Amino acid sequence: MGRVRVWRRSVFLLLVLTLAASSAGCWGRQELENQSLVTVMGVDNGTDKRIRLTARIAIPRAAAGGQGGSGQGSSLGGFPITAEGENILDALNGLQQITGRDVTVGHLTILVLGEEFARKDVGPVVDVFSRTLQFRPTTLVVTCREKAEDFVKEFTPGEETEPSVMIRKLIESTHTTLGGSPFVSMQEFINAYNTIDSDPWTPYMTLASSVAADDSSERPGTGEDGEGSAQEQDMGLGDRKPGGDKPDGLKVVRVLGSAVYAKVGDVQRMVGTLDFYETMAANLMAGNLRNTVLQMAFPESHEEVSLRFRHAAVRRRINIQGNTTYVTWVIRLVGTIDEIIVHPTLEPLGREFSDDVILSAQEEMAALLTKTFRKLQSFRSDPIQLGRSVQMKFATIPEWENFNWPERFPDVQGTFDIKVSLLNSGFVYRHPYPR
Amino acid sequence: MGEAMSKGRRETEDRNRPDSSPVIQLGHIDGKQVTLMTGFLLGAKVFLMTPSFIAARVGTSAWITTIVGTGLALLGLLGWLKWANATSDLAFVPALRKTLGRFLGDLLAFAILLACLAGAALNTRVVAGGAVIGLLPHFPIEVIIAIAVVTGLYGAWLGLETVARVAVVFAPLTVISTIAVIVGAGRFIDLRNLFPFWGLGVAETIKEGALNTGLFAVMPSVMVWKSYVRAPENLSRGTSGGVLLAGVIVTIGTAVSITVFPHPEISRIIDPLGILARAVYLGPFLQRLEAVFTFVWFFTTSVQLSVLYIIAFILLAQLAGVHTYRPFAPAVGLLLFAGASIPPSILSAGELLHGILFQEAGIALVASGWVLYLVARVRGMAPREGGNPRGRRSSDGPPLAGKKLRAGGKEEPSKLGQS
Amino acid sequence: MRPRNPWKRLLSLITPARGRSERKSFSLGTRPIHGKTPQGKERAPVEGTKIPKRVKDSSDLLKEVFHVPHSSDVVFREIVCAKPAIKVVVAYIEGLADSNKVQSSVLEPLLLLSSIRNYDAKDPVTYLKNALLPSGQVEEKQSLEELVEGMIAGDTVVLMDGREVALTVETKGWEHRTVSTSFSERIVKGPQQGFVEVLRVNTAIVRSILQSADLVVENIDLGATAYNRCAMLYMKSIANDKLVAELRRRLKSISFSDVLASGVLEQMIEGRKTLIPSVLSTERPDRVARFLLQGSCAVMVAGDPFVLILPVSILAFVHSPEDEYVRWPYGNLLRLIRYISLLLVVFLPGVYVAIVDYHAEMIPTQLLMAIAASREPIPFPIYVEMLVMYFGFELIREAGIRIPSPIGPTIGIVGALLIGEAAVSANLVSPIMVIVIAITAVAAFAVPNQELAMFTRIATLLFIIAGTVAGLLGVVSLTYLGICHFASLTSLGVPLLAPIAPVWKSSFSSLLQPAAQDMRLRQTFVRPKDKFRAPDEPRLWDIGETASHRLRSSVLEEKRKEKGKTEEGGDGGSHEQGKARNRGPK
Repeated sequence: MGRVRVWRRSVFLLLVLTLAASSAGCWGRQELENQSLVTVMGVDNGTDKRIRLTARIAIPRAAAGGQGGSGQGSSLGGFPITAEGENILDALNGLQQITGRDVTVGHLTILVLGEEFARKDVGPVVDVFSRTLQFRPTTLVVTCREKAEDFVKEFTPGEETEPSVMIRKLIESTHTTLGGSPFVSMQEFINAYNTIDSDPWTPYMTLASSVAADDSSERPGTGEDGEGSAQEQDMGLGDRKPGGDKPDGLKVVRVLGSAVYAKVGDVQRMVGTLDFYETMAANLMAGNLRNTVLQMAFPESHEEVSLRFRHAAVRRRINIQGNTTYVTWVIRLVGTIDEIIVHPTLEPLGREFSDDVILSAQEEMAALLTKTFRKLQSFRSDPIQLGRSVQMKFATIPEWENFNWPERFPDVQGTFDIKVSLLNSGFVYRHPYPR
Repeated sequence: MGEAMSKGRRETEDRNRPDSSPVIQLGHIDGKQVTLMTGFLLGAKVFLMTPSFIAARVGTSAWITTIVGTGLALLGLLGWLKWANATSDLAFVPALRKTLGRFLGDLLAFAILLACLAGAALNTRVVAGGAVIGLLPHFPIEVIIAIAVVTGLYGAWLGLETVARVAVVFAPLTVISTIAVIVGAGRFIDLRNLFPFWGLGVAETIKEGALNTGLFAVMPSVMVWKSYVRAPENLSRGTSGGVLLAGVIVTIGTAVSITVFPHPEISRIIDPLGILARAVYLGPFLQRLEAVFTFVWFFTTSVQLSVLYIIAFILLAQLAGVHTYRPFAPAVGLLLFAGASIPPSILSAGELLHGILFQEAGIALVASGWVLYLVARVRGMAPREGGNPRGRRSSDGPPLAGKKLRAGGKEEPSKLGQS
Repeated sequence: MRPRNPWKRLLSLITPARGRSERKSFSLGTRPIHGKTPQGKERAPVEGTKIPKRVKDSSDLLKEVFHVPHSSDVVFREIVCAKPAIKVVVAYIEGLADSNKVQSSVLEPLLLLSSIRNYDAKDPVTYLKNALLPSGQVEEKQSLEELVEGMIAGDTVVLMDGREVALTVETKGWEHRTVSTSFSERIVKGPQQGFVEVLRVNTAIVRSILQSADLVVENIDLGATAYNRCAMLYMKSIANDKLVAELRRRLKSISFSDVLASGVLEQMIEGRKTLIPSVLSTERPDRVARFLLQGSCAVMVAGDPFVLILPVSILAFVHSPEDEYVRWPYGNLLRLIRYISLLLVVFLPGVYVAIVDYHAEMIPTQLLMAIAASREPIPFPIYVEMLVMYFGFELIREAGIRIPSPIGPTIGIVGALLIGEAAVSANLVSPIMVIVIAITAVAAFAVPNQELAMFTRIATLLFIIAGTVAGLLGVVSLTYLGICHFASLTSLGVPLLAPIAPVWKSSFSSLLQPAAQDMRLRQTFVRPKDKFRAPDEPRLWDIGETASHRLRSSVLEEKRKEKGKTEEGGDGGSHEQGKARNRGPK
């Protein structure tokens, strides 16, 4: 009896397996070598309301170490193609028409929005990302100053072989070490897009020459953060630097700050930019800041002090009185004095010096934060998710919706209660001087 | 030896066995296993898809409604347990028949069976649909449905004990994968999204919470285990633990979904935890693991389906009064395949599930335990204390009693008591 | 039996016989089992042939049985005894019986001493047995079959004229391998002894390790045409009686012409036909002793150095005795490595195929690039590549066993290296595939149990197919089916997944290795009579107490208890226990 049962069961299993095998027939099987992996994709306005997609297709041989693939991908890493279409999928089909392999966006890591496109309407992108599951919610969104096509086609991946890896690392490092750019994935972008309590923002980038800028002022950061991006703020955003200094014309990516989006009329679009330090301030207001560097020009003869903040605790105190919302950011910063440029002829700094630094750092920070907040209010955009904190004051959703946060945001009275504490005094027994 | 002859002889032998009470001999399960099986049965499906349905209606207080729903479900369970106690050692369907009379009893049993089958079919559809859209875009959905049905069915085919053990094996896996998803999505979690605390209002929240009891529509079906638990007290402890477990799972799932997807956004997403799994970012090279998580959840769903199937099998066998459940397997499999293939989309499957099963009908099923208990008390059925098998042959039972009742299937009370 | 109609077989798949219940097999639990209990009816014992009265007849008959003179190794020696003046025929098989023993304990006494010895006995059988034959084991046999069994086992038969009874004298002593280290389960730290092919030596080894009066060694005969003997070992004070009875029943009711190896016996007594083993076979006496002490039983087959242990948990196949011999953190590390390797060997190739073919988005981009780059020159789809490599590897492994030992290992390494390297440079397989297969292969060798390793080889193939057919969905479905299947299996009535599902508290065969002093619980899932190895704190010195040791015997303890209770109740009990003991070690 038992034998028959086992026999039956095995036949049953076999039947099921063969059925499954024959009916399933390996439908979705797709060999790797038949896939064109799009890792960086740029979106632009095309001719007459169409969308222009530019993709940087990875070349595995080149990326895997160049064995046998040298010369194909050139130093740019990847193979850029462009197509236009009525919408994004249509444009993707256009890409498919000019590549031999299947265009696969499953590995899309960086989505670049051209500023021109972003200032019109980002709706199509958000829509395709939330409907088509092949696109990843972890894709990072970036806005670039020039046309995305140029950006995607021309930038050099630098130390990396794979362009997307380079941009991801760039964003990560500027975000974590300096707070100079937001780290926004498509998921967060869509979340902010769909809710009234916050607005999306993205890193803002541009192409720049690979040779160092002639500005010789000291650089904050560790050097891996995008080739001296900090001084960009001094030069101003509009200061476009053509990358023609070197004969090979290699262009690198430079992080300028962040692009801020807001709902204007019926569409959500880019409304303005924050520079590197403003982005840092916005990150601080959003509570996303870990490390940053603050430069201060000191009123007296010591010219410049560099503070590195290693920890930031941010609390928002919200008070709603009638139509006005009062927000106080309680910010506690812990940092160290890392660099001081003093006049060599002066006496060595005293211990009381750090108190001065703290005071002026607090002032400086408050000024920066106030300026940034005003700017955001003028954009009518809330990427710092202040709305999310304000909504906690409401018991039910209807009350919150009646409050009409987007309308109220520009009238919010923001104040900053900043306390800086320093782990060191900046005092050295004898500061170095030339003999 | 002739085939027919040997078979005939075997049957006579079976019938002539001294203790051949026609019970489906599935073995016995203990309290822990009951808990896990109930948890899988009630938790898994809801866990994957309901957060957005609930959140669409009540907004940010969805997790409170699930707590309310769980509380009410526990209350309903108490009625069922009291009834189970009052009908002492009778098996589920015979006990129903004894309480309500043959017609009404069978009707209620059929209703529970229907809830099981509909739940199973629609869940299969939802899972298969999710797999097709997210992971195997080129696969025909029928194949995936077939695979899901067959895998679930195989576990049930092997018996109640097997299903119980499988539930034990996969429980930690499910928990670990869920925790991994939550941790991995930690970057997106923002507790501020849980506010405004009361969603659309306190009254609305409580009302929706009461409606959410319907989520536990298949809960009464765990009572079919009443004659298979090792010791009588295992049933109450196991099932209430299971309902509580399911409630916790649903609440956590809902709360996490809400914290990640702010209020209007969550109502837009069909499968928030699936999306969450897609967004998991454990590091630059550990992303895109959602296929793994989703497939671990396939285990979860398979266990759930196996549990549903075994319940359906037991109910069918007890209704038909036969020894074995296995002849039902192919039919039930085909039925489920058909049922799962009917809904045109995930959304419609989910809506069907919610519209039909998880609302009034579900609440009625959950609440009918108290009705049964009251009827049983009115009819004078004694609670188990005495442990006497009087109930089995009492003459004041429904007219069918006699032979048919015994044929319905039950355990030997004396033996039950021992263990 | 007539072969069944295939159509009917197919039909029977969907309409199983009515009344067949899911569980009718043996179960250790206290749960009531409905329906037929598995205790089958006894078959009538085969009646033996009586020994003829005349010694001439009986020796002729015996000669005929042994096909003398065709068989040349059977020796018949006719002697005339002096004191009980009686004609005696001594018969034994040369080579099986130790000629020295035959000489000293049969021939010499009969020929030389019979006249000297003074003993009053009318019956020559009693005389011979009690006074003449100086062997430890002299038995009276009534039937010719028993004599044949004795001779085959190496005993010497003494036939006497005029009696329907014969004597067998223990003279076993055939050539065998000496006790050496075990070959298949090597460990670094711990005892190194391995079993040999001789049953009595093996039981002696176990007894020498497990020095307890409660160790019972029951002999059970196997095989009708080729007679063989197996021994069933258990601890009377620990092993569950129900379990022992069931095992005894299973062993005794094997009706097969010949059972010569443990591998055959294993399949005869295990529950269902299935891929995964449910009986642990081991070559290590220490392992057997440890399992006996945990409440499991062991079965030894004469002529096979592998001993079967059952019931066991599935975890026992992944554990190695070394886990316990080293300190617990190291043991746990070893276990974890083995679990991981088991998962790797089963899943890695299948998952690799599934992911690369269906879920390329899961692979980190850079790794994907590397894989894609290495795949580009390969003309085959990935599953063909995988199958080629899989079979190539299995080929090398199988060939490695057959190749004469001096060059065996070389050919394995050389073959793998050369073929792998050549295949890669010829663009037949990609280097990553070689790595995948190599990891799988190395992981397979980390699986400590031969049978489980065999299972993993098949499972790997199944998972490759599943991954090819339906991607991860296939892998996951197959895993689910497999786990369901395992969950339904039992090892002598004990769920195979026992300490995990159903959950049992057990410090032995558990997922992780507790520290030695924390292993206070036996394998609870085999429901031993005594659950505890130590009831409370095992390290009495740690709490400032001392303990005195005395060897424990359950029989004596019970007797003492009974004596303490009542005087008259003790008699019946002791009688029974005495019987039980007689059945035991002989």
